[in-house]
Amino acid sequence: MKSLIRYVLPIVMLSLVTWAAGPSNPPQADSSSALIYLGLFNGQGVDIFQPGHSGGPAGQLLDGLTNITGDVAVGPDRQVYVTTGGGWVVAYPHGGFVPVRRYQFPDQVQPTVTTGIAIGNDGTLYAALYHDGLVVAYPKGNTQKASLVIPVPLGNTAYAVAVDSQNNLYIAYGGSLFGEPGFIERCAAGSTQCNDMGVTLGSSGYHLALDSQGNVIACDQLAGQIDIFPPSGGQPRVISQGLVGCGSFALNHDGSQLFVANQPHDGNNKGISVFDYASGKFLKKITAGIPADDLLFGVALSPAAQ
Amino acid sequence: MTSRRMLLVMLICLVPCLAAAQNPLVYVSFLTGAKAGGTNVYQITQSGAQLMDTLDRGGGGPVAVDKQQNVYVVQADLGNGGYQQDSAVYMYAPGGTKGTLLFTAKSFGIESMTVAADGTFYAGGQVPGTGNTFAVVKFAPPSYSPQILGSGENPRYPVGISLDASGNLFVGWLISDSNYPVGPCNSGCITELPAGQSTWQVRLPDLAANAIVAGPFATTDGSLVFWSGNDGRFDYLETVASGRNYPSQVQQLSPMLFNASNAIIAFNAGGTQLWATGSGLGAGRGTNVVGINYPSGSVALSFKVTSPANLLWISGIGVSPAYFP
Repeated sequence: MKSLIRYVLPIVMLSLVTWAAGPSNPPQADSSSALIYLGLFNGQGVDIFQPGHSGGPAGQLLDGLTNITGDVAVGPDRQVYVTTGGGWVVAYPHGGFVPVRRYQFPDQVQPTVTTGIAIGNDGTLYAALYHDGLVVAYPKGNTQKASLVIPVPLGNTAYAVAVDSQNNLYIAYGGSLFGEPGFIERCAAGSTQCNDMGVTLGSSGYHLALDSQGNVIACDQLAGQIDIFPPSGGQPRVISQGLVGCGSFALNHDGSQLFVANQPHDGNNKGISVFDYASGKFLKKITAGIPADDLLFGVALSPAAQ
Repeated sequence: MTSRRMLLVMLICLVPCLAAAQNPLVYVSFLTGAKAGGTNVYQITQSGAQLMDTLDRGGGGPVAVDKQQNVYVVQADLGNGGYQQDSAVYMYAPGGTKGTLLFTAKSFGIESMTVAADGTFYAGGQVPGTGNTFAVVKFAPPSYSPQILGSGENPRYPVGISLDASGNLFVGWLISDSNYPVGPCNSGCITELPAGQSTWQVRLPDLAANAIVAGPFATTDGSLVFWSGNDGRFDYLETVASGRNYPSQVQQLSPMLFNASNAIIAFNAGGTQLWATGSGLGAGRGTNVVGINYPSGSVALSFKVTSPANLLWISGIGVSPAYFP
């Protein structure tokens, strides 16, 4: 009898331990290091690159996505927001592959195409709705009703949006066709009253950003160059070495490097070009695992720029 | 202790021990014609999978295995448009190859099925000839008279059904057109009928259950285990813990397992292994059957369904002994 217990008990205990050790933590791509997210129109997903990980993406966001239509953004809590078919924006938790939230803009005209997006420090989603010519804001946890709707000037459409730490908005807008000029306006926090910054882009890209000095970073897609405007407008500093386009871009966490989807408006991407942000010097190119015939829509880094 | 008492104690201990140690059987039900199908029986050993027998019924839907290891298959009965008309459920005793007709669900194409410990069947399926009417039906012995637990046009396509230890019933649904695009089941969900109640509720809406194609299984600890995916793009094995509404675990599997067909799954006794294969169009001869360790998600064994030669598509999978919470 003793030998039977000695034989059976460890098996029973092992089974219990195995079961108890079962479902545990959510998947983590890597919680410690920076991640690069790249939206693919044809690939209908977002590739996740890990610096130091050779041979292409370390993972992909696919669940809940169709064509990526405009932008990818990372919030302060490292949630990842992706624009996709139907004009929707789908959000994923940091390290997660299953959608946690979906913005379908039910209170706006349907269907739409969402181009640029930005996430405020308070978790508010700001989205540029292309067909509607609007920038809309949805506070954290609210996917049903916009708290703010800002129409862009008549005859134009919305391309991109950025938000600063005081929740002032910067909106890139312009004509709906490639080659029509783009403009940038600044809107006070919570207000629909916006002031034109007095700058002109050959044609707007799908992303807009701010650096820690309050400079406005925009893409002139017609010229294939990044323009960095002083907070009050005026002549830009230009980053353009080797660029054929710049519709999507992102600053890294400390603002030292700029990652640009190097792609003209009609495709034929050249991968991601990385620049030293302060000097504008080209540092490197990321092409491994990026399909040359795909359209890049959205570059984001996690953690996002402060 | 007398030798007789010792023998009795040893028998009490040994029977479950032997049952746990026995080689599992995997059942793969397949269609060969509009009114014809069968079910392959594979024995799983350390050296792989061996085709032991082919049951003479099946192809009309899922496979279920009860606590006594009896196996239940649905006979193929396709009508116009390829819809299953009546669902005749056949029972096979453990190791048996001679099936017995248990009951026939008239005008109901069973798409998911489970058997409770008391022998009651719970099935989700489609009513043929009605456009898009889906139902969840209970068939209790001895009469197996149908009792409709819910029906309607939405949600659609029950991909799995499971009872927990308390008798709460869970059904996985592929899609819904209701309140599109913001309805909670538009791209998949899990609904629950709490024990003793008559009102269904959405247990898991279509973000956490987005793209669900198989399951759920309700486990002893209250978790729900299911498969979401779009084979060819992604296949995830997901676990949602009790009381939660987002996966506590997501195992990413190869997205190329089942030739772009929808996965179907079975869960073994003890909850240590899931068996999965493809179903419907695309899941013809040569489709993989994959044994996946749970919760690690590692693939333990993979083999192809190579017979019979006239296999059109796979309709169901079961494993014996099966999981019961």
